[in-house]
Amino acid sequence: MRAVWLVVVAALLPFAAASATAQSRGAVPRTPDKKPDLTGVWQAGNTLRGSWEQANGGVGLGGSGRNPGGPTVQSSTERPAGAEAAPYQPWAAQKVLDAFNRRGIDDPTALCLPPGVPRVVMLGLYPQQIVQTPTHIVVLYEYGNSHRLIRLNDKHPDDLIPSYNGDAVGRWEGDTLVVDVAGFNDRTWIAGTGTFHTEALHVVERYTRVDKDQINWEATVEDPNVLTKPWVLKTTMMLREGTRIEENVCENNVDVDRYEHLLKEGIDFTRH
Amino acid sequence: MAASKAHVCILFAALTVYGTTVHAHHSFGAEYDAQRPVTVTGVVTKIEWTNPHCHFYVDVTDERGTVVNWKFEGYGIGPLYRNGWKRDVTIKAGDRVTVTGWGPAMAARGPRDARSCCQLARRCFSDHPSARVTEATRPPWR
Repeated sequence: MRAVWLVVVAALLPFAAASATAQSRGAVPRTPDKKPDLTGVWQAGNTLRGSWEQANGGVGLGGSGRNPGGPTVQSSTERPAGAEAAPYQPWAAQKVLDAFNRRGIDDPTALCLPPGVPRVVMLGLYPQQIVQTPTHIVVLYEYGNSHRLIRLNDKHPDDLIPSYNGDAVGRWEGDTLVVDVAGFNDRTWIAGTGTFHTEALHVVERYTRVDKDQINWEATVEDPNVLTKPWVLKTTMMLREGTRIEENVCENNVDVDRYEHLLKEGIDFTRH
Repeated sequence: MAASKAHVCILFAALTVYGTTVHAHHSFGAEYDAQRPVTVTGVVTKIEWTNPHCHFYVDVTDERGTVVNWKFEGYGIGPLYRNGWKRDVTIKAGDRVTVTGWGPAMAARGPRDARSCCQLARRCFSDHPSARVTEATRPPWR
């Protein structure tokens, strides 16, 4: 009998430890109807706790700020390090590579167009603010003054119109907010350079607030016209208390005109 | 304060290492050459607080006494603000600054355009060793 108790205690130890860790990191705030409350200002693409300044070591340029020796992604045209390979069909993969080799000069955001979903969710340089109500989740993205309105427990309309951020409906699966997004145009990139898609793009996001400071975010991206299988993207979103969403009007990205001018002059943008 | 010497180190880079965690601007690779780090010292002539990129201009005097006005590009207003830049405090016209950045990717664009970095008085790093600045000088007014 004693041996049985030991087994039971041993089996429960990891859960007790996890619970203690969660408590030490702060419990997940909850709404009156006991749902996790995602309200707050968040920074994606970062795993460090604390204020914006603390987590970004001042400027957060190079590595992760506090780990300045870490690798740096200079821009969206840099090759991702350690990212899951995008499962593009061969012809589509070549098109993505062509965009990379052209140094990303076709980036829609260079035209001041919205990054779209899911790209906008993963932008680490700009905060995003979630406002939660019983019927809607509102997300305000600083970049490009973009916003999303996620209707809870609703369906997509039958007459979806193409849009940059898509039509988003959400539901709670336990403590995870699941957001189904459809009705996209084909003018955005999914994530990195050249990751194009068609209007068949379908994204399912999962937001799980694992403790006070952190949301684990995952998106399953489908587009049978260009992908061979669903592409799963992940990032963490860290709470940035004290950070405000600032105005961000895209006013001086005139690069495409400049690129076209340079191309006419015979400038070769191709990577060699 | 106009004669103060700041060490402005501006590095255009994303915050983290995950490939899909990128910022959305224009292409650094198309605009600037990571193999062409530049460091100049001069006097700030103008600052444009704009999005998605700020610009500031620096008069640089070479050995012959010729003054060249350099244009630097950096982060937009929000990232600058969160990283400690205060308008009319951190950097303003008349300040003497040392700026580290990168030259244009296309030589035909001329040597006076450069992307700069936006880290001030903090550590500033690049994954390119020749562009690495280990410690910026803290300006006296902060």
